[in-house]
Amino acid sequence: MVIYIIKCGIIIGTRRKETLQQIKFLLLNNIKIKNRSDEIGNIDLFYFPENSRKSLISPEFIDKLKKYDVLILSGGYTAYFFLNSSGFISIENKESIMPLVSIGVIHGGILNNKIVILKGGSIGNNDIYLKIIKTLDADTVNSPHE
Amino acid sequence: MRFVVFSDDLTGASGVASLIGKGSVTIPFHNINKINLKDYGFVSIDMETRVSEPGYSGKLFDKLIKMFTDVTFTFRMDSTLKGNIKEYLTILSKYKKIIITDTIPEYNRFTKDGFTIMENNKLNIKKLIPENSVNEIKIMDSRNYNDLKKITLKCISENYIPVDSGILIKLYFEDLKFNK
Repeated sequence: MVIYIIKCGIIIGTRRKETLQQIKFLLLNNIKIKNRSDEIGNIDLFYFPENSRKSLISPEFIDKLKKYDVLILSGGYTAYFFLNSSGFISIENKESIMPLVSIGVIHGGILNNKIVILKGGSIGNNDIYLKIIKTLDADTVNSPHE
Repeated sequence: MRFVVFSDDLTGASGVASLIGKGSVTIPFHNINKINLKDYGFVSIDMETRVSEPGYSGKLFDKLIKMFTDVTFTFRMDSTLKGNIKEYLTILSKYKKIIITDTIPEYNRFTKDGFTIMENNKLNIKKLIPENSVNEIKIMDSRNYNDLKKITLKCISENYIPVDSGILIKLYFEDLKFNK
C-alpha cells in the first residue's frame, strides 16, 4: 500500500481571540511556526499579525509555499492580500469540507493549480485545522480538475 | 452561467461557491473579464468591498448587478454581519423582494426574532434593514435544514431572492436548477 503524505502550509493573519486559541491548539500538537525557516514539514504554520503584512505578500514567501500540496488560508484580508500578490485570477471550487470552509484550485499566478482552502477567521473550534487536514487525502491533491 | 452571487470578501465568496462545488468559480471583480464566466453554472464574485467606504460599496454593487441582469443574482452576507450590508440590501431591493435568514446548523448558529443567535452572542439583523427599501425585505426565523428548505420553497413560489451566509443560497440554487 502506498501512503501519500500531503504537505500542508497553514497561513494565518488574524489576531481574533478564536484564532489565537486555534494557533495555541496547533502549537500544543507540535505544529511549528515556520516564518523564519526554510525547512518543510508535513504541516507547517505561518503566522502574520497585522504589523507583518509585508512579509505575507513578499515574493520570497509566496515562492516558498510552492513546495506544499495544500495551502490553508485563514481570514478574509489574509486570503485577499496573499492571493492577489501571487497574481491569481480565480478559484475553481470543489465541494466544501464544512460550511464556509471552502476548497478549490487556484488559477493563474505563481501558485497556479495549487489546492487552496479558505476559512473565515471566526469559523470553527480550536481543533478546526486538524479536522480540515484529516479530511484531506491523496485524491484531493491528485485530481484538481475533476 | 445560471446564477451569480456577490460577496464583499474573498473567503465569503469562496465559501458559498464551495457549497455548490463542481461547476462553480470564485473571482474578484477586477478579474471578471479574464475568464469566460459562461463556462460556470455558479459564479461567485468578490466585490472586494469589505472595508470600503459606504457609498462606494453600493455604487459598485449596482454597477455589477447591471452587468448580470440576464441571470439570477443575489448577495451573500457575512455570517457575523460585517461590512456595509444595509447598503447592499438597499440596492438589491431595487430589483427583488428579499428574504434574509442567518443560520448555519452545523455551527449551532440560527435566526430568531430578527437576531442571529450564536454561542455566547447575539447579532441584530433588524438594524440592517433599510427604512426605504424599494421592494419588501423580510427576516425569517430558521434553526435547521428543514426550516431552510421551507424558506427556499417560499422564495421560489413567491418570487423572493434569498440572502444569507450561504446555505439558503445553495438550497435555492439547487431548487432553481432542478425546476428548470
